[in-house]
Amino acid sequence: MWRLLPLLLVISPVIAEEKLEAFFSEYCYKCHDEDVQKGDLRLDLIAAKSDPIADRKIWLAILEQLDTREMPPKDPLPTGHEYLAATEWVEEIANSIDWEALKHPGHVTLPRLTKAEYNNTIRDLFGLDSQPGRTLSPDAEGRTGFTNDRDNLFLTSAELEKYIESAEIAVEALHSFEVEKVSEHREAEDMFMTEMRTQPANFTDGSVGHVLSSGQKTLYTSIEIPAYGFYRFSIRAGSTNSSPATALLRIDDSLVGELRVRGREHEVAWVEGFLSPGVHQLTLNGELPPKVKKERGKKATPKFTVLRDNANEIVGRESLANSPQFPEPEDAPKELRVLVLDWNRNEKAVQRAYEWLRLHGETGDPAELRRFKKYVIDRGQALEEVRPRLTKALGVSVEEFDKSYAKINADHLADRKALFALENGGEGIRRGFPGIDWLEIEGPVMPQEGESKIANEATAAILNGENWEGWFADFLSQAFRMPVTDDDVAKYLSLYETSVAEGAAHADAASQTVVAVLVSPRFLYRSEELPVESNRGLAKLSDYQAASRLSYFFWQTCPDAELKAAAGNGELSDAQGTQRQIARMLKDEKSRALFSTFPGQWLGYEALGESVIPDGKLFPEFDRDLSESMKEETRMLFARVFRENSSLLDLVACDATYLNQRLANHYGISGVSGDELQLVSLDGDALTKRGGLLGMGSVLTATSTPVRTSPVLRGVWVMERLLGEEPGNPPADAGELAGNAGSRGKTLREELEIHRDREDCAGCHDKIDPLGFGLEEFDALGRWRDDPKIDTSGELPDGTKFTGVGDLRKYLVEERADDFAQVVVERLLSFALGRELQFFDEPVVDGILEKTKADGFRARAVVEAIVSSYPFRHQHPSPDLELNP
Amino acid sequence: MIHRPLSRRTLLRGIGASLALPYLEMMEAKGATAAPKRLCSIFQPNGVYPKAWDVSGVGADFQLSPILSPLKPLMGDFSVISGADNLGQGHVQLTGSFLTGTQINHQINAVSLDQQVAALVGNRTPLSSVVLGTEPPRQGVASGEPIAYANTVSWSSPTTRVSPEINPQVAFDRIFRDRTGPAAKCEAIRRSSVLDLVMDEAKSLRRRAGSTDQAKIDEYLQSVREVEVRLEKTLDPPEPEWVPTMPPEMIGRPGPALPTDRQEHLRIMMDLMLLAFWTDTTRVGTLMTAHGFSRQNFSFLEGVTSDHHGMSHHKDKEDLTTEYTRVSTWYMEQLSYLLGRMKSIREGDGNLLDNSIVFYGSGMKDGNGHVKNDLPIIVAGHGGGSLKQGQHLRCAKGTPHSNVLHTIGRAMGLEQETFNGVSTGLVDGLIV
Repeated sequence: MWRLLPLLLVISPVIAEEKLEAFFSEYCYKCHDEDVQKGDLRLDLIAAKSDPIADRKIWLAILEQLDTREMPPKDPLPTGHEYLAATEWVEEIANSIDWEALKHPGHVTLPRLTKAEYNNTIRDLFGLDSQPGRTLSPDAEGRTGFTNDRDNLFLTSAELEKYIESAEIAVEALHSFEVEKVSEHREAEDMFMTEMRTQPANFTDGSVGHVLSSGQKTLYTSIEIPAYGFYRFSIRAGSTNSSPATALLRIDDSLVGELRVRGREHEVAWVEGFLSPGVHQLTLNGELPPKVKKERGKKATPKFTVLRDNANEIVGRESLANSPQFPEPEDAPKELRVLVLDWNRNEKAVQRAYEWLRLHGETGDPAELRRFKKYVIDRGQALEEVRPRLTKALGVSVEEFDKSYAKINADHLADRKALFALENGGEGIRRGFPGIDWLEIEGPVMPQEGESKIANEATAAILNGENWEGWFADFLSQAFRMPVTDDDVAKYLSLYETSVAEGAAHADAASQTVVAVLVSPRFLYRSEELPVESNRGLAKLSDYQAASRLSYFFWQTCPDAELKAAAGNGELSDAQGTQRQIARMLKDEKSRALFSTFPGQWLGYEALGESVIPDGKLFPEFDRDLSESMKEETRMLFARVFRENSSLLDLVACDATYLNQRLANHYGISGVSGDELQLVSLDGDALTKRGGLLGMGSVLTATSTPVRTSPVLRGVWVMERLLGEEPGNPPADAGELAGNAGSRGKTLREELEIHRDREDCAGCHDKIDPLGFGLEEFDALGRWRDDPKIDTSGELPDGTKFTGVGDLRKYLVEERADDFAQVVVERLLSFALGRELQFFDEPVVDGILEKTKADGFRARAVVEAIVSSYPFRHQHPSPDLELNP
Repeated sequence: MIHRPLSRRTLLRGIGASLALPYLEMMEAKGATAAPKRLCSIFQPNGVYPKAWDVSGVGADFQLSPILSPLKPLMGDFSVISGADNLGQGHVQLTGSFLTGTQINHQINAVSLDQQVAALVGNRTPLSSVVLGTEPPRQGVASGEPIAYANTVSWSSPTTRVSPEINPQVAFDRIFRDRTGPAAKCEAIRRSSVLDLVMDEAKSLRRRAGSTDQAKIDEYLQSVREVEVRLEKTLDPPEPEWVPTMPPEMIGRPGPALPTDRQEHLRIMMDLMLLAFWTDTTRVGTLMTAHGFSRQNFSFLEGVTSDHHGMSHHKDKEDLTTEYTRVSTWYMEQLSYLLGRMKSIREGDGNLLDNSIVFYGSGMKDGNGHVKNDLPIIVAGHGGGSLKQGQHLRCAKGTPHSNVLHTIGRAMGLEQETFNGVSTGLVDGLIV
């Protein structure tokens, strides 16, 4: 894109060039010249051209090679002195750029709103999250790797038609405030049941309904929806056993939600969905438990431990042998002897529950594990009742009793602790069927407080004509994200007036006018018009324009009233004022947009659970719940680091993470309950395994193939996404391992070794594979596998050795902290600007790193530096670099 | 009273139920004109295993290969073309060039065959073209170009990619919406005045913008103009040029979610394409069977364990080439399904396939090594009598595949010297 090569701006280092030429021909040209070009590099041409700007990347790479002494790879090797001298000459050439003269903010193409930005902006304009742009095509990621890449946001007539329809829906959705709300209650037994012979069931709590115990059994009803909007569908249901059960709700034959109940007890579960006006058909089905994995030619093997027939006998025998006991005192009074016997009998009863846990083991059915843990607790109650009487009879305190009891029974008690900690990693495949009591439909669901004022005003103005013109003028400036002139307002209002003159009702004419605003290029494109006095050349952005950039960077929506006010009163021209706004905006829930999109696209897991789905036969545990929890964990870590202004390195190494019960089970961490993700401190083993990006299900799953782990994909991911190194393109005939590699008699490592027999493969894979193998103890869904056969050791070309995720993490934060910070800064800056970084951005990135390094690269400080940077606050109309006057 | 044939759109309006339309004699146009020619371009990602694709024998006397065996019932309705070479390297460029014949270079390509034909004949139908797919854009960069570019083979300008519609419901609504009823007319009037206003706004914005931003605004203006043409047609509907001989068998409106079953998804897109041709809603259709860098999991096929891209880098290992061939054969089964359905639709004295040209192929020969020469290409349908079918045509060494595009363009009525300035001639023996 940058066509003009500003050779004039280079202070030509002639002497260095000559000396370097001699060094190169001695040590480098035999692999990198006209005859041989390893790695596609012709160093002779690079040296002859000696252009540190056009060949920036190559010169910096040469510098790194000399620095690490990776090249030349074999004799003859330069002496230490020669290395140092060559480094100096290369530095002289590489640094011969007059950055001040090259200072340039870059040109950013006029960006169309992304699909997400479009929906969010309309949400904030009307105070109603109607997602009117649902049918817009998804935006692809451009060369920046982000969907907000301004060069990548184009428009076709098919999309423009969708914009018109979306705008109409957005305005029509406002009717949801006016219509009479729907509130329908349908008893299951009154709904249509497809299986004629199925009778309503009586539930234990006295209610009556239907059990959806096969995929065929469908409960059916229909509902008339009055207006566009979100509607809530609630069911009251219980499971047919102690395991969870899920009912699938379909509207017009497409799945809108899974309603999950936890166990036998009836409870109310709900989902919300957006509906258009008209009659819709609703159906409820039970979710069938996933089929047990079956290999061809073999009998189906159950997923969980199957107990032997004599299990009960084993439990009886073992509970006698393994139960903690209180020794019977000699010559004790009868009363005391009875208490001791009572105590010991109860301990054996408790021990029976522990023995059942032992038999089921860690491959046990999670529901069974839960059941026996509950027995442990319930039966323990009896002990609690005996204890005070026993200690009184013994004449000791409870503490003394416990202490000596623990001493006598140390082994048994430790054994119990281990048994109680047993968890089956998966959520478990055993599920119940939902017994439905009733279904309720309510809506449209009203917006949150705060939004409702905006929504009320918009509705009053558009539908009822209250303060129409005043509202419209404000709306126009909000929609265009800048103050508008009276002429602008008059231009749009003329459409309204014409329609009214032709006989249209107010609401229709007003709706049409608002649609015109939402289809206008000044709304669909984030215009950053340059002031006339800049002569359409380089210009500093106005505070309103800066506010718009800020708002789309953090929130992917238009500035709110406070940010607009800050732009109006000069707060954004002031460093402290800007910092205040940044802190406020990051805290605001709307910054969720930044924390989902930025890491999701930078780290490449955004499509997980949507278009990237592990093989359903091999990984039946993977579902939307799990993938959403995984993504949410990463999102929440980013939010915490930025909101609390922690170090960027906390993203890699962190002693806490966010988990819900599902994800904690998945990770093998106990003690977390509920669906909401919560901050969980990590220590010991869990800290080594999890804590930071390297142990997160989101990235570990996204860097696996659908059928197995891939050390290569994971290694490339660490290199490229975390360290900013280019792993190099594989030769086109490189080949790829089969899906079932690693399960054909050789380990994955052995197959990869063979795969790397070619020298031109080994060059890159020596760097990639060790990093990937460091993560090999995580399976393709990011679960920890305690398999001693897995070898996670690796050695990088520079001699760094590590084993497993703990060492890899340590390597990243201790040896590569600066590189990681540089990647985050570069990616964030590119995301904030919506363009690829160019060579002239190098000093900007360096400046931000220098400024924030001393304090450990604090996240908010980095963001502040980006927002106050030259390219963020300036705009240049031409993509061709011109010399600054 | 003048007896006018009923417009088929009168019948299609408001379709939502899965009902075959009642056959009405009235729909038989009196003295119907000849059936229109349609172009259907189908892209298949990741190449094929050459040894299992290549056919033996040249000319009319050739033997089908294992991959092509599903096409057996259609012998005589298609030809195999071999020896045509693509240009560029890697998945992104070799996908981008599939219908343009030129190499994407720094995000610049050329106008693709389907869009060139759409520009020529698109104004005769409600939609100038229909571009469908099954996979969303994928992320990352390969050989310096965003992988997302391999999302489509359809380019309406050297910089504008036409994103395939992957959601069956959205595609359905776009193809079969009411375009001529009173409600549609009211809507068109309302939308026309909206477009007048924003067009004016765009022009004044353009005057104040720099040159690159002007190009962006031009894209907007162009889109507005195209929508306006469509609105014109609603307000003043032209007499339909073609009325289907057989009444279209409508399918029900698909649900809003993407089908998770790979075959179901592809077939519903094929059914929609078929209906768009059948009803003469468009004459140009393009189908991305999957993303040009597709890593779709094919383990639903027996004996397949890898993803499509993975297995395409097979290194001649038997287990992988077997999987690779199985998947390619599956693709041919889908093509056979579409061609078979097209053939079953009677149009005048022939059928829909007789009146169409279906161009099917991949941007690379063998995924292993990204081999770009000797592309796997099938050209099916008689193009309204313009194509000679039932042969294996082997191009001379070094023939660019743009010659095939040029030949098909010629058969579709494009009168031009070369195709995007890169073709070197026509494919001998394909045009009658």
